[in-house]
Amino acid sequence: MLLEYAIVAGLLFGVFYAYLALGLNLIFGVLRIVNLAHGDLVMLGSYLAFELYYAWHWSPLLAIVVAVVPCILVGGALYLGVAPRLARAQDPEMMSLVLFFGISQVIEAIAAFGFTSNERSVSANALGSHPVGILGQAYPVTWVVVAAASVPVLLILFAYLGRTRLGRATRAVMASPDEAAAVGINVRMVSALTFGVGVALAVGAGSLAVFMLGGVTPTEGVSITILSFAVIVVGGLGNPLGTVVGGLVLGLAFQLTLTFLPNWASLVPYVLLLAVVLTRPTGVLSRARRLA
Amino acid sequence: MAEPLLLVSDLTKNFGRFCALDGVGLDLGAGEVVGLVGPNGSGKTTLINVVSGLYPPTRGTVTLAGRPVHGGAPHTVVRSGMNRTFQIAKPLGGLTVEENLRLAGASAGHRPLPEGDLLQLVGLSGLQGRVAGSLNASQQKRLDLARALATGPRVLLVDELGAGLSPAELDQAAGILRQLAEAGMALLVVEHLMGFLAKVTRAVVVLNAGRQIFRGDLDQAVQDPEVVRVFLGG
Repeated sequence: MLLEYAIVAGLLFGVFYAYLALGLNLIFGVLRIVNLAHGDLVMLGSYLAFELYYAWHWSPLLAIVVAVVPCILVGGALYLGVAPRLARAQDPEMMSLVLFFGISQVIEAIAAFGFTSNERSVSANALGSHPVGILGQAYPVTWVVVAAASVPVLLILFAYLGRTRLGRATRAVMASPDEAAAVGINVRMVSALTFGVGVALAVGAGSLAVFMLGGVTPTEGVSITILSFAVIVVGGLGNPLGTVVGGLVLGLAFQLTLTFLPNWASLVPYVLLLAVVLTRPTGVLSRARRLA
Repeated sequence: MAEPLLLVSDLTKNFGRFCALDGVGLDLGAGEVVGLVGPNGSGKTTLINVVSGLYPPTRGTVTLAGRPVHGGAPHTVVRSGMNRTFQIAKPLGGLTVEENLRLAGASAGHRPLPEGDLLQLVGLSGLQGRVAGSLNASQQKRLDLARALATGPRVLLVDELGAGLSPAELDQAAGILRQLAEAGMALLVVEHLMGFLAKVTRAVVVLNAGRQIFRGDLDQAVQDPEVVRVFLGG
Protein backbone atom coordinates (compact mmCIF):
# COMPACT_ATOMS: atom_id res chain seq x y z
CA MET A 1 0.00 0.00 0.00
CA LEU A 2 2.77 2.40 0.96
CA LEU A 3 4.67 1.62 -2.22
CA GLU A 4 1.63 2.19 -4.43
CA TYR A 5 0.89 5.44 -2.64
CA ALA A 6 4.48 6.63 -3.08
CA ILE A 7 4.50 5.74 -6.79
CA VAL A 8 1.25 7.57 -7.56
CA ALA A 9 2.35 10.56 -5.47
CA GLY A 10 5.71 10.48 -7.25
CA LEU A 11 4.06 10.57 -10.64
CA LEU A 12 1.80 13.48 -9.59
CA PHE A 13 4.79 15.41 -8.30
CA GLY A 14 6.88 14.33 -11.28
CA VAL A 15 4.53 15.89 -13.80
CA PHE A 16 4.64 19.11 -11.80
CA TYR A 17 8.46 19.00 -11.59
CA ALA A 18 8.60 18.62 -15.37
CA TYR A 19 6.48 21.74 -15.83
CA LEU A 20 8.54 23.55 -13.20
CA ALA A 21 11.82 22.85 -15.01
CA LEU A 22 10.76 23.05 -18.64
CA GLY A 23 11.26 26.81 -18.91
CA LEU A 24 14.77 26.49 -17.52
CA ASN A 25 15.61 23.87 -20.15
CA LEU A 26 14.17 25.89 -23.04
CA ILE A 27 16.23 28.90 -22.01
CA PHE A 28 19.31 26.71 -21.62
CA GLY A 29 18.64 25.39 -25.10
CA VAL A 30 18.81 28.79 -26.79
CA LEU A 31 21.28 30.61 -24.52
CA ARG A 32 23.48 27.70 -23.38
CA ILE A 33 23.54 28.99 -19.83
CA VAL A 34 21.57 28.18 -16.71
CA ASN A 35 19.07 30.95 -15.98
CA LEU A 36 19.88 31.65 -12.35
CA ALA A 37 16.75 33.79 -12.11
CA HIS A 38 14.50 30.83 -13.01
CA GLY A 39 13.39 30.18 -9.45
CA ASP A 40 12.66 33.87 -8.94
CA LEU A 41 10.39 33.86 -11.99
CA VAL A 42 8.58 30.88 -10.48
CA MET A 43 8.32 32.82 -7.23
CA LEU A 44 6.76 35.77 -9.09
CA GLY A 45 4.23 33.36 -10.56
CA SER A 46 3.32 32.20 -7.08
CA TYR A 47 2.68 35.80 -6.00
CA LEU A 48 0.65 36.33 -9.18
CA ALA A 49 -1.52 33.36 -8.23
CA PHE A 50 -1.82 34.72 -4.70
CA GLU A 51 -2.96 38.11 -5.98
CA LEU A 52 -5.37 36.64 -8.52
CA TYR A 53 -7.01 34.56 -5.81
CA TYR A 54 -7.17 37.02 -2.91
CA ALA A 55 -7.37 40.39 -4.70
CA TRP A 56 -9.41 39.42 -7.77
CA HIS A 57 -11.12 36.24 -6.51
CA TRP A 58 -10.05 34.37 -9.64
CA SER A 59 -8.72 30.85 -9.77
CA PRO A 60 -4.98 30.90 -9.05
CA LEU A 61 -4.54 28.54 -12.00
CA LEU A 62 -5.49 31.40 -14.31
CA ALA A 63 -1.96 32.70 -13.74
CA ILE A 64 -0.80 30.02 -16.21
CA VAL A 65 -2.80 31.69 -18.97
CA VAL A 66 -2.56 35.32 -17.82
CA ALA A 67 1.24 35.14 -17.76
CA VAL A 68 1.72 33.90 -21.30
CA VAL A 69 1.58 37.04 -23.45
CA PRO A 70 3.27 39.51 -21.07
CA CYS A 71 6.02 37.02 -20.27
CA ILE A 72 6.72 36.25 -23.92
CA LEU A 73 6.89 39.98 -24.67
CA VAL A 74 9.07 40.85 -21.67
CA GLY A 75 11.25 37.74 -22.02
CA GLY A 76 11.67 38.22 -25.76
CA ALA A 77 12.60 41.88 -25.29
CA LEU A 78 15.06 40.96 -22.54
CA TYR A 79 16.69 38.41 -24.83
CA LEU A 80 16.93 40.83 -27.73
CA GLY A 81 18.36 43.45 -25.38
CA VAL A 82 21.02 41.35 -23.69
CA ALA A 83 21.92 38.53 -26.10
CA PRO A 84 23.90 40.67 -28.59
CA ARG A 85 25.84 42.27 -25.74
CA LEU A 86 26.56 38.89 -24.16
CA ALA A 87 27.73 37.55 -27.53
CA ARG A 88 30.26 40.39 -27.78
CA ALA A 89 31.61 39.79 -24.26
CA GLN A 90 35.02 38.18 -23.85
CA ASP A 91 33.55 35.46 -21.65
CA PRO A 92 29.84 35.24 -22.59
CA GLU A 93 29.04 32.29 -20.31
CA MET A 94 30.45 33.97 -17.22
CA MET A 95 28.79 37.27 -18.11
CA SER A 96 25.46 35.47 -18.59
CA LEU A 97 25.72 33.86 -15.18
CA VAL A 98 26.54 37.20 -13.59
CA LEU A 99 23.70 38.91 -15.44
CA PHE A 100 21.08 36.37 -14.44
CA PHE A 101 22.36 36.26 -10.89
CA GLY A 102 21.88 40.03 -10.83
CA ILE A 103 18.38 39.71 -12.26
CA SER A 104 17.64 37.09 -9.61
CA GLN A 105 18.73 39.45 -6.85
CA VAL A 106 16.69 42.33 -8.28
CA ILE A 107 13.54 40.20 -8.52
CA GLU A 108 14.05 38.97 -4.97
CA ALA A 109 14.50 42.52 -3.68
CA ILE A 110 11.44 43.78 -5.52
CA ALA A 111 9.38 40.84 -4.21
CA ALA A 112 10.53 41.50 -0.64
CA PHE A 113 9.65 45.17 -1.05
CA GLY A 114 6.24 44.47 -2.54
CA PHE A 115 5.14 41.44 -0.56
CA THR A 116 7.36 41.60 2.60
CA SER A 117 9.47 38.64 3.65
CA ASN A 118 6.55 36.85 5.35
CA GLU A 119 5.47 33.60 3.79
CA ARG A 120 2.26 33.76 1.80
CA SER A 121 0.18 30.78 0.87
CA VAL A 122 -2.99 30.14 -1.07
CA SER A 123 -5.63 28.05 0.63
CA ALA A 124 -5.79 24.51 -0.70
CA ASN A 125 -9.55 25.05 -0.92
CA ALA A 126 -8.88 27.23 -3.95
CA LEU A 127 -8.43 24.00 -5.91
CA GLY A 128 -11.07 21.89 -4.16
CA SER A 129 -11.84 20.57 -0.74
CA HIS A 130 -12.13 16.79 -0.97
CA PRO A 131 -9.33 14.26 -1.31
CA VAL A 132 -9.24 12.38 -4.58
CA GLY A 133 -9.26 8.59 -4.64
CA ILE A 134 -6.76 6.87 -6.95
CA LEU A 135 -6.34 3.07 -6.90
CA GLY A 136 -8.20 2.93 -3.63
CA GLN A 137 -6.12 5.55 -1.81
CA ALA A 138 -6.87 9.19 -1.06
CA TYR A 139 -4.58 11.95 -2.30
CA PRO A 140 -4.74 15.69 -1.56
CA VAL A 141 -6.83 17.40 -4.19
CA THR A 142 -4.09 19.98 -4.76
CA TRP A 143 -1.65 17.28 -5.96
CA VAL A 144 -4.17 15.89 -8.41
CA VAL A 145 -5.33 19.29 -9.72
CA VAL A 146 -1.74 20.50 -10.10
CA ALA A 147 -0.79 17.38 -12.06
CA ALA A 148 -3.96 17.69 -14.12
CA ALA A 149 -3.12 21.32 -14.88
CA SER A 150 0.48 20.47 -15.77
CA VAL A 151 -0.33 17.76 -18.28
CA PRO A 152 -2.14 19.99 -20.82
CA VAL A 153 0.65 22.56 -20.62
CA LEU A 154 3.21 19.86 -21.39
CA LEU A 155 1.07 18.44 -24.20
CA ILE A 156 0.56 21.87 -25.77
CA LEU A 157 4.28 22.60 -25.57
CA PHE A 158 5.25 19.28 -27.13
CA ALA A 159 2.63 19.65 -29.85
CA TYR A 160 4.14 23.08 -30.56
CA LEU A 161 7.69 21.71 -30.66
CA GLY A 162 6.84 18.63 -32.67
CA ARG A 163 4.01 19.66 -34.95
CA THR A 164 4.47 23.29 -35.86
CA ARG A 165 7.00 24.90 -38.16
CA LEU A 166 8.03 27.36 -35.47
CA GLY A 167 8.39 24.55 -32.97
CA ARG A 168 10.63 22.58 -35.33
CA ALA A 169 12.64 25.75 -35.88
CA THR A 170 12.97 26.04 -32.10
CA ARG A 171 14.29 22.48 -31.86
CA ALA A 172 16.69 23.23 -34.68
CA VAL A 173 18.05 26.32 -32.91
CA MET A 174 18.39 24.36 -29.67
CA ALA A 175 20.31 21.64 -31.52
CA SER A 176 22.71 23.93 -33.40
CA PRO A 177 22.22 27.66 -33.98
CA ASP A 178 24.72 27.80 -36.85
CA GLU A 179 23.14 24.95 -38.75
CA ALA A 180 19.69 26.30 -38.01
CA ALA A 181 20.70 29.59 -39.60
CA ALA A 182 21.97 27.62 -42.60
CA VAL A 183 18.47 26.34 -43.25
CA GLY A 184 17.15 29.89 -43.29
CA ILE A 185 15.88 30.13 -39.72
CA ASN A 186 15.99 33.57 -38.09
CA VAL A 187 17.89 32.29 -35.08
CA ARG A 188 17.70 35.58 -33.16
CA MET A 189 13.92 35.85 -33.33
CA VAL A 190 13.28 32.17 -32.67
CA SER A 191 15.64 32.36 -29.68
CA ALA A 192 13.87 35.47 -28.38
CA LEU A 193 10.48 33.77 -28.67
CA THR A 194 11.80 30.64 -26.97
CA PHE A 195 13.30 32.69 -24.17
CA GLY A 196 9.90 34.37 -23.71
CA VAL A 197 8.15 30.99 -23.68
CA GLY A 198 10.65 29.81 -21.07
CA VAL A 199 9.83 32.79 -18.88
CA ALA A 200 6.09 32.20 -19.34
CA LEU A 201 6.49 28.55 -18.36
CA ALA A 202 8.42 29.50 -15.23
CA VAL A 203 5.89 32.10 -14.13
CA GLY A 204 2.98 29.77 -14.96
CA ALA A 205 4.55 26.95 -12.95
CA GLY A 206 4.74 29.35 -10.02
CA SER A 207 0.96 29.29 -9.72
CA LEU A 208 1.23 25.56 -8.98
CA ALA A 209 4.42 25.75 -6.94
CA VAL A 210 2.61 27.77 -4.29
CA PHE A 211 0.58 24.63 -3.57
CA MET A 212 3.24 21.95 -4.10
CA LEU A 213 6.20 23.62 -2.39
CA GLY A 214 4.29 25.01 0.56
CA GLY A 215 3.70 28.74 0.19
CA VAL A 216 5.93 31.43 -1.23
CA THR A 217 8.60 33.77 0.12
CA PRO A 218 10.85 36.21 -1.78
CA THR A 219 13.92 34.12 -1.00
CA GLU A 220 12.74 30.77 -2.32
CA GLY A 221 14.09 31.33 -5.83
CA VAL A 222 17.48 29.70 -5.25
CA SER A 223 16.05 26.41 -3.97
CA ILE A 224 13.60 26.25 -6.89
CA THR A 225 16.40 26.91 -9.38
CA ILE A 226 18.43 24.06 -7.85
CA LEU A 227 15.44 21.71 -7.91
CA SER A 228 14.72 22.60 -11.55
CA PHE A 229 18.39 22.27 -12.45
CA ALA A 230 18.42 18.74 -11.01
CA VAL A 231 15.41 17.85 -13.18
CA ILE A 232 16.98 19.09 -16.42
CA VAL A 233 20.35 17.50 -15.68
CA VAL A 234 18.68 14.15 -15.01
CA GLY A 235 16.70 14.44 -18.27
CA GLY A 236 19.45 16.01 -20.35
CA LEU A 237 20.36 19.67 -20.79
CA GLY A 238 18.63 21.20 -23.79
CA ASN A 239 16.31 18.22 -24.18
CA PRO A 240 12.65 19.13 -23.47
CA LEU A 241 11.40 15.54 -23.64
CA GLY A 242 14.12 14.58 -21.18
CA THR A 243 12.77 17.19 -18.79
CA VAL A 244 9.56 15.19 -18.46
CA VAL A 245 11.55 12.03 -17.77
CA GLY A 246 13.75 13.94 -15.33
CA GLY A 247 10.69 15.31 -13.55
CA LEU A 248 9.15 11.85 -13.20
CA VAL A 249 12.43 10.33 -11.98
CA LEU A 250 12.86 13.06 -9.41
CA GLY A 251 9.20 12.89 -8.33
CA LEU A 252 9.32 9.13 -7.84
CA ALA A 253 12.70 9.22 -6.09
CA PHE A 254 11.52 11.99 -3.79
CA GLN A 255 8.26 10.35 -2.83
CA LEU A 256 9.78 6.89 -2.39
CA THR A 257 12.48 8.34 -0.17
CA LEU A 258 9.94 10.42 1.72
CA THR A 259 7.91 7.28 2.35
CA PHE A 260 10.65 4.86 3.31
CA LEU A 261 13.59 7.07 4.40
CA PRO A 262 11.94 10.38 5.27
CA ASN A 263 15.02 11.90 6.89
CA TRP A 264 16.91 11.63 3.59
CA ALA A 265 14.20 13.04 1.31
CA SER A 266 15.57 16.56 1.13
CA LEU A 267 18.85 15.19 -0.26
CA VAL A 268 17.21 13.48 -3.22
CA PRO A 269 17.69 16.26 -5.83
CA TYR A 270 21.36 16.66 -4.95
CA VAL A 271 22.09 12.93 -4.88
CA LEU A 272 20.35 12.43 -8.22
CA LEU A 273 22.20 15.40 -9.67
CA LEU A 274 25.56 13.97 -8.65
CA ALA A 275 24.65 10.43 -9.73
CA VAL A 276 23.64 11.56 -13.21
CA VAL A 277 26.62 13.87 -13.68
CA LEU A 278 28.98 11.05 -12.70
CA THR A 279 27.34 8.22 -14.62
CA ARG A 280 25.33 9.69 -17.52
CA PRO A 281 26.35 13.31 -17.93
CA THR A 282 24.20 13.77 -21.04
CA GLY A 283 21.06 12.70 -19.17
CA VAL A 284 19.05 9.53 -18.88
CA LEU A 285 17.64 9.92 -22.41
CA SER A 286 21.02 10.29 -24.06
CA ARG A 287 20.72 7.15 -26.17
CA ALA A 288 17.05 7.40 -26.93
CA ARG A 289 15.24 9.69 -29.34
CA ARG A 290 15.62 13.29 -28.29
CA LEU A 291 13.22 16.04 -29.09
CA ALA A 292 15.88 18.73 -29.48
CA MET B 1 30.80 40.68 -69.64
CA ALA B 2 27.93 39.48 -67.46
CA GLU B 3 28.01 40.40 -63.78
CA PRO B 4 29.21 37.47 -61.66
CA LEU B 5 26.68 35.73 -59.48
CA LEU B 6 28.94 36.00 -56.43
CA LEU B 7 31.40 38.86 -56.11
CA VAL B 8 33.69 39.08 -53.08
CA SER B 9 35.83 42.23 -52.86
CA ASP B 10 38.58 43.16 -50.43
CA LEU B 11 37.16 40.83 -47.77
CA THR B 12 38.94 41.24 -44.47
CA LYS B 13 38.22 39.64 -41.13
CA ASN B 14 40.08 40.40 -37.94
CA PHE B 15 39.63 38.53 -34.67
CA GLY B 16 41.06 41.02 -32.21
CA ARG B 17 44.55 41.69 -33.51
CA PHE B 18 44.67 38.50 -35.57
CA CYS B 19 43.94 39.00 -39.25
CA ALA B 20 42.25 35.82 -40.52
CA LEU B 21 41.37 37.24 -43.95
CA ASP B 22 43.25 40.05 -45.61
CA GLY B 23 41.64 41.71 -48.62
CA VAL B 24 40.49 38.55 -50.41
CA GLY B 25 38.56 38.94 -53.65
CA LEU B 26 36.97 36.40 -55.93
CA ASP B 27 34.04 35.99 -58.26
CA LEU B 28 31.86 33.14 -59.42
CA GLY B 29 29.53 32.93 -62.39
CA ALA B 30 26.53 30.67 -62.83
CA GLY B 31 27.65 27.09 -63.38
CA GLU B 32 31.21 27.91 -62.42
CA VAL B 33 33.16 25.84 -59.90
CA VAL B 34 36.18 27.25 -58.10
CA GLY B 35 38.28 25.30 -55.65
CA LEU B 36 39.54 27.08 -52.55
CA VAL B 37 42.73 25.53 -51.21
CA GLY B 38 45.42 26.38 -48.72
CA PRO B 39 47.16 24.97 -45.69
CA ASN B 40 45.44 24.66 -42.32
CA GLY B 41 44.74 28.08 -40.85
CA SER B 42 44.95 29.84 -44.21
CA GLY B 43 41.44 31.27 -43.85
CA LYS B 44 39.38 28.99 -46.09
CA THR B 45 36.61 28.22 -43.59
CA THR B 46 36.74 31.78 -42.26
CA LEU B 47 36.08 32.98 -45.81
CA ILE B 48 33.03 30.71 -46.04
CA ASN B 49 31.85 31.82 -42.61
CA VAL B 50 32.10 35.49 -43.54
CA VAL B 51 30.59 35.10 -47.03
CA SER B 52 27.69 33.06 -45.61
CA GLY B 53 27.00 35.66 -42.93
CA LEU B 54 28.08 33.66 -39.90
CA TYR B 55 30.71 36.30 -39.11
CA PRO B 56 30.42 39.95 -40.10
CA PRO B 57 33.36 41.16 -42.20
CA THR B 58 35.77 43.70 -40.77
CA ARG B 59 36.04 45.25 -44.24
CA GLY B 60 35.00 44.43 -47.77
CA THR B 61 31.86 43.49 -49.63
CA VAL B 62 29.98 40.39 -50.74
CA THR B 63 27.36 40.77 -53.45
CA LEU B 64 25.02 38.11 -54.72
CA ALA B 65 23.58 38.79 -58.17
CA GLY B 66 24.40 42.46 -57.68
CA ARG B 67 22.82 42.73 -54.22
CA PRO B 68 25.07 43.31 -51.22
CA VAL B 69 24.66 40.58 -48.60
CA HIS B 70 27.67 41.22 -46.36
CA GLY B 71 26.94 41.94 -42.73
CA GLY B 72 23.48 40.35 -42.97
CA ALA B 73 22.36 37.54 -40.68
CA PRO B 74 23.01 34.04 -42.07
CA HIS B 75 19.32 33.35 -42.65
CA THR B 76 19.00 36.43 -44.86
CA VAL B 77 21.95 35.22 -46.94
CA VAL B 78 20.27 31.82 -47.29
CA ARG B 79 17.04 33.47 -48.36
CA SER B 80 18.96 35.55 -50.89
CA GLY B 81 20.03 32.36 -52.64
CA MET B 82 23.38 31.35 -51.18
CA ASN B 83 24.06 28.53 -48.73
CA ARG B 84 26.92 26.52 -47.36
CA THR B 85 27.81 23.11 -46.02
CA PHE B 86 29.86 22.58 -42.89
CA GLN B 87 33.32 21.08 -42.51
CA ILE B 88 32.02 19.02 -39.60
CA ALA B 89 28.42 18.24 -40.42
CA LYS B 90 26.11 18.74 -37.46
CA PRO B 91 22.66 17.88 -38.70
CA LEU B 92 19.78 19.03 -36.56
CA GLY B 93 20.19 15.89 -34.49
CA GLY B 94 16.82 15.42 -32.85
CA LEU B 95 14.93 15.92 -36.11
CA THR B 96 14.42 13.22 -38.71
CA VAL B 97 16.07 13.38 -42.13
CA GLU B 98 12.73 14.41 -43.61
CA GLU B 99 12.21 17.12 -40.97
CA ASN B 100 15.69 18.49 -41.68
CA LEU B 101 14.85 18.85 -45.36
CA ARG B 102 11.35 20.24 -44.81
CA LEU B 103 12.63 22.82 -42.37
CA ALA B 104 15.27 23.87 -44.85
CA GLY B 105 12.77 24.17 -47.68
CA ALA B 106 10.16 25.97 -45.63
CA SER B 107 12.39 28.35 -43.71
CA ALA B 108 14.28 29.51 -46.76
CA GLY B 109 11.10 30.67 -48.43
CA HIS B 110 11.86 28.73 -51.60
CA ARG B 111 9.83 25.98 -53.11
CA PRO B 112 11.89 22.99 -51.99
CA LEU B 113 13.09 20.39 -54.43
CA PRO B 114 11.15 17.16 -54.01
CA GLU B 115 12.63 15.49 -50.93
CA GLY B 116 12.76 12.13 -52.66
CA ASP B 117 14.88 13.60 -55.48
CA LEU B 118 17.23 15.26 -53.02
CA LEU B 119 17.67 12.10 -50.99
CA GLN B 120 18.27 10.09 -54.15
CA LEU B 121 20.80 12.65 -55.35
CA VAL B 122 22.88 12.34 -52.19
CA GLY B 123 22.32 8.61 -51.73
CA LEU B 124 20.07 8.71 -48.68
CA SER B 125 16.93 7.21 -50.21
CA GLY B 126 14.87 5.26 -47.72
CA LEU B 127 16.27 7.09 -44.69
CA GLN B 128 13.60 9.82 -44.46
CA GLY B 129 12.33 8.63 -41.10
CA ARG B 130 15.72 8.20 -39.45
CA VAL B 131 16.69 10.62 -36.70
CA ALA B 132 19.52 12.67 -38.18
CA GLY B 133 21.68 12.25 -35.10
CA SER B 134 21.71 8.47 -35.62
CA LEU B 135 23.25 8.66 -39.11
CA ASN B 136 26.93 7.82 -39.57
CA ALA B 137 29.45 10.54 -40.41
CA SER B 138 29.27 10.01 -44.16
CA GLN B 139 25.47 10.05 -44.15
CA GLN B 140 25.48 13.20 -42.01
CA LYS B 141 27.72 14.92 -44.57
CA ARG B 142 25.34 13.95 -47.35
CA LEU B 143 22.37 15.15 -45.33
CA ASP B 144 24.20 18.43 -44.74
CA LEU B 145 24.57 18.80 -48.51
CA ALA B 146 20.96 17.81 -49.18
CA ARG B 147 19.74 20.29 -46.57
CA ALA B 148 21.71 23.11 -48.14
CA LEU B 149 20.29 22.18 -51.55
CA ALA B 150 16.76 22.12 -50.13
CA THR B 151 16.99 25.88 -49.63
CA GLY B 152 17.31 26.30 -53.39
CA PRO B 153 20.68 28.09 -53.54
CA ARG B 154 22.15 29.62 -56.69
CA VAL B 155 25.55 29.74 -54.99
CA LEU B 156 26.76 26.89 -52.80
CA LEU B 157 29.81 27.11 -50.54
CA VAL B 158 31.07 23.57 -49.94
CA ASP B 159 33.39 23.14 -46.95
CA GLU B 160 35.52 19.98 -47.17
CA LEU B 161 32.83 17.65 -48.41
CA GLY B 162 35.46 15.02 -49.19
CA ALA B 163 36.95 14.71 -45.72
CA GLY B 164 36.30 11.28 -44.25
CA LEU B 165 34.62 9.83 -47.34
CA SER B 166 35.67 6.51 -48.89
CA PRO B 167 37.05 6.51 -52.48
CA ALA B 168 33.71 5.35 -53.83
CA GLU B 169 31.89 8.03 -51.85
CA LEU B 170 34.36 10.64 -53.12
CA ASP B 171 33.57 9.69 -56.71
CA GLN B 172 29.87 9.95 -55.94
CA ALA B 173 30.30 13.34 -54.24
CA ALA B 174 32.34 14.67 -57.18
CA GLY B 175 29.61 13.52 -59.53
CA ILE B 176 26.97 15.35 -57.48
CA LEU B 177 28.95 18.60 -57.54
CA ARG B 178 29.47 18.35 -61.30
CA GLN B 179 25.77 17.69 -61.74
CA LEU B 180 24.90 20.80 -59.69
CA ALA B 181 27.28 22.95 -61.72
CA GLU B 182 25.81 21.64 -64.97
CA ALA B 183 22.41 22.71 -63.66
CA GLY B 184 23.76 26.28 -63.32
CA MET B 185 24.73 26.43 -59.67
CA ALA B 186 27.90 28.33 -58.77
CA LEU B 187 30.15 26.37 -56.42
CA LEU B 188 33.02 27.44 -54.19
CA VAL B 189 34.63 24.21 -53.01
CA VAL B 190 37.01 24.24 -50.05
CA GLU B 191 39.06 21.07 -50.19
CA HIS B 192 42.29 19.48 -48.98
CA LEU B 193 41.98 16.45 -51.26
CA MET B 194 43.46 17.59 -54.56
CA GLY B 195 42.49 14.39 -56.34
CA PHE B 196 38.86 14.95 -55.40
CA LEU B 197 39.00 18.62 -56.36
CA ALA B 198 40.53 17.80 -59.74
CA LYS B 199 37.46 15.69 -60.52
CA VAL B 200 35.26 18.73 -59.99
CA THR B 201 37.19 21.72 -61.32
CA ARG B 202 40.49 22.96 -62.69
CA ALA B 203 40.03 26.52 -61.36
CA VAL B 204 41.51 27.19 -57.94
CA VAL B 205 42.15 30.03 -55.56
CA VAL B 206 45.00 29.50 -53.10
CA LEU B 207 45.00 31.20 -49.71
CA ASN B 208 47.83 31.50 -47.25
CA ALA B 209 47.70 33.32 -43.92
CA GLY B 210 44.46 35.00 -44.94
CA ARG B 211 45.79 36.33 -48.25
CA GLN B 212 45.05 35.16 -51.77
CA ILE B 213 48.36 34.06 -53.31
CA PHE B 214 47.17 32.42 -56.51
CA ARG B 215 44.20 32.17 -58.83
CA GLY B 216 44.26 30.07 -61.95
CA ASP B 217 44.44 26.53 -63.23
CA LEU B 218 45.18 23.70 -60.82
CA ASP B 219 48.08 22.49 -63.01
CA GLN B 220 49.65 25.95 -62.91
CA ALA B 221 49.07 26.19 -59.15
CA VAL B 222 51.26 23.16 -58.44
CA GLN B 223 54.09 24.82 -60.40
CA ASP B 224 53.73 28.24 -58.84
CA PRO B 225 56.79 28.89 -56.62
CA GLU B 226 54.86 30.57 -53.83
CA VAL B 227 52.20 27.89 -53.74
CA VAL B 228 54.88 25.21 -53.68
CA ARG B 229 56.68 27.03 -50.88
CA VAL B 230 53.50 27.35 -48.83
CA PHE B 231 52.52 23.72 -49.20
CA LEU B 232 55.95 22.10 -49.13
CA GLY B 233 57.86 24.66 -47.10
CA GLY B 234 60.55 24.86 -49.85
